[in-house]
Amino acid sequence: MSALVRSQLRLSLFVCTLLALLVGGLPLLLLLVPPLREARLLGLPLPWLLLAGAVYPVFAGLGWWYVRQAERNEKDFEDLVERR
Amino acid sequence: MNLAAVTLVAVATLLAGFYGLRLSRTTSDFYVASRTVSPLANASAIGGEYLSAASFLGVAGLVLAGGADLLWLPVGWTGGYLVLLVLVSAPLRRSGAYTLPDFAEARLESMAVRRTASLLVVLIGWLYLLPQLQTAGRVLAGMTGAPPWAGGPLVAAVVVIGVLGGGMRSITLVQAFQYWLKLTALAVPLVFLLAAWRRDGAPGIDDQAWLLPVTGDQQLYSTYSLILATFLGTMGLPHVLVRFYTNPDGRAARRTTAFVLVLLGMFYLLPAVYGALGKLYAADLADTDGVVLELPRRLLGGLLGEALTALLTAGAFAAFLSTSSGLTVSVAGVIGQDLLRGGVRSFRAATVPALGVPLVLALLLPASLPVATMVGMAFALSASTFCPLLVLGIWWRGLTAAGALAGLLTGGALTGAAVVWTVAAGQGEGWAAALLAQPGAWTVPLTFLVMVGVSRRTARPAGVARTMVRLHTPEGLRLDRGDWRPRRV
Repeated sequence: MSALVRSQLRLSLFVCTLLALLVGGLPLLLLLVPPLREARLLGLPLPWLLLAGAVYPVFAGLGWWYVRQAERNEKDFEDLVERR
Repeated sequence: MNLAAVTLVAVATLLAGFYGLRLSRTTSDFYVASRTVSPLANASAIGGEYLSAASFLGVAGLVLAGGADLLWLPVGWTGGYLVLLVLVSAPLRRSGAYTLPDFAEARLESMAVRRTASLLVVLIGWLYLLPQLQTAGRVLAGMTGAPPWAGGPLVAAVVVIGVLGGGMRSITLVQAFQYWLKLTALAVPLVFLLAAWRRDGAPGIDDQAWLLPVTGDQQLYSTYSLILATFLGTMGLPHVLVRFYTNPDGRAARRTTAFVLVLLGMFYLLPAVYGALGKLYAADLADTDGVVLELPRRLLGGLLGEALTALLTAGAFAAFLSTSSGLTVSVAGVIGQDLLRGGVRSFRAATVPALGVPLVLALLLPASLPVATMVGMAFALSASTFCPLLVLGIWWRGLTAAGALAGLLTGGALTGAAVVWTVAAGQGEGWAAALLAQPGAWTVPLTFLVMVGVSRRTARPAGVARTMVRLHTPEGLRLDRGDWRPRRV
């Protein structure tokens, strides 16, 4: 049981760390790398394309990936318990 | 035409509410729609409830006023759901609790923590309701020429009737419908507005300070603090959690939350565009919260402009109604269960203070801060109290009642003080103002430290092992989960 909790916790913390790096790193990156702040893609400023656009599908994708992994963890645990 | 739109939304909500009365019989129905709602319907309802005036109007207004840095706000409000999904969704559903105080009691076996949690739910709920009612007043006055004090009571009246009528179940249907209404209401006018912008030669924006994020290190602090508060505050919002429990099991709870992420993402693509268009065509607006409603009139004019404005007004009112309903249900639920006797009658009686207090405050206080800012402060309070409670409670066996209590009180008091100060003093300049307006960066870590520190020195609840089994294992397996049940249902 604590193995299950640990694997779920590791999965959750992994996603959180990924999120933190993405979300936490972006302001810092934009501050420290001025060309990125002023870059343009398709005529629109890059920061806007990222913050007001690309970030949302990334979140949704991460979320669904997490659901699949978490369910797999649980299935492994169930198999383990039922085999006993 | 605006008045007609508002009336239509109000009537539709009331009808759904009355229909719900025939469906709801027991207290269980009343609070949590008997857990028979499908994931997509549930996700739509969650989205509908979550997207308040702050999302519909406020984000565009703040982006117009503050530029690229404010884009973090909707990112945070969406990302908060990802954090919720990953850290909290399945275990919370498996706890069996209906409300946050229920969870506090189940996990920590302490009435003191339960009561503190109840108090915080009510305070957070009020803090979130206040700007909804204030903005409703301003919007109704601006759009239909009604007196400024009329909007709040109108929203309150419709909410009360709907809530008394059906409790949670009727609200599920209404909320699901209202997500799609809000999405449509915001998306359709944008098509026309963008066409008009292109016809105008697709002008760009020159204001570099506005266009570029992170200018200055106070701005960096505010951005990070905002990010922390919004990402961590979502899980502790009363109306978010309560609707959560309408899933049949832990896995469904996860999937629903993943759906919510998609729906929120779709919605939040839109307000930033309104903000940018506002910068081009409505930069002179004093009340930036009104930019979404102003733009059709300015860019299109004529009958089309009027019709689109009516659609947007309907969407805005749907936003006021849905979030206010959700908040009222959860606050009234907590008041009914913990202050009164519990049961349907207490819930109904509790609706009065649940909605009445913020309504009175909304009428008394002139709206000094933008709606999204005030909502942000509710997030900060939630992030500083319930986030540590949930995260530590779910993942750490060592959390004790004393530790939780100490943390809740610390986070609550400090953030509460910062909120009161900022509301009273208005938005100022300088580091002190920034620290108080966005307290998340220091209150959240502090609360975590306090909870951990105090827990280390005090005794754990007796049934921790079984509680952890209940929170983490799939429901299908036959294991000893203990016999805790939520109160009086």
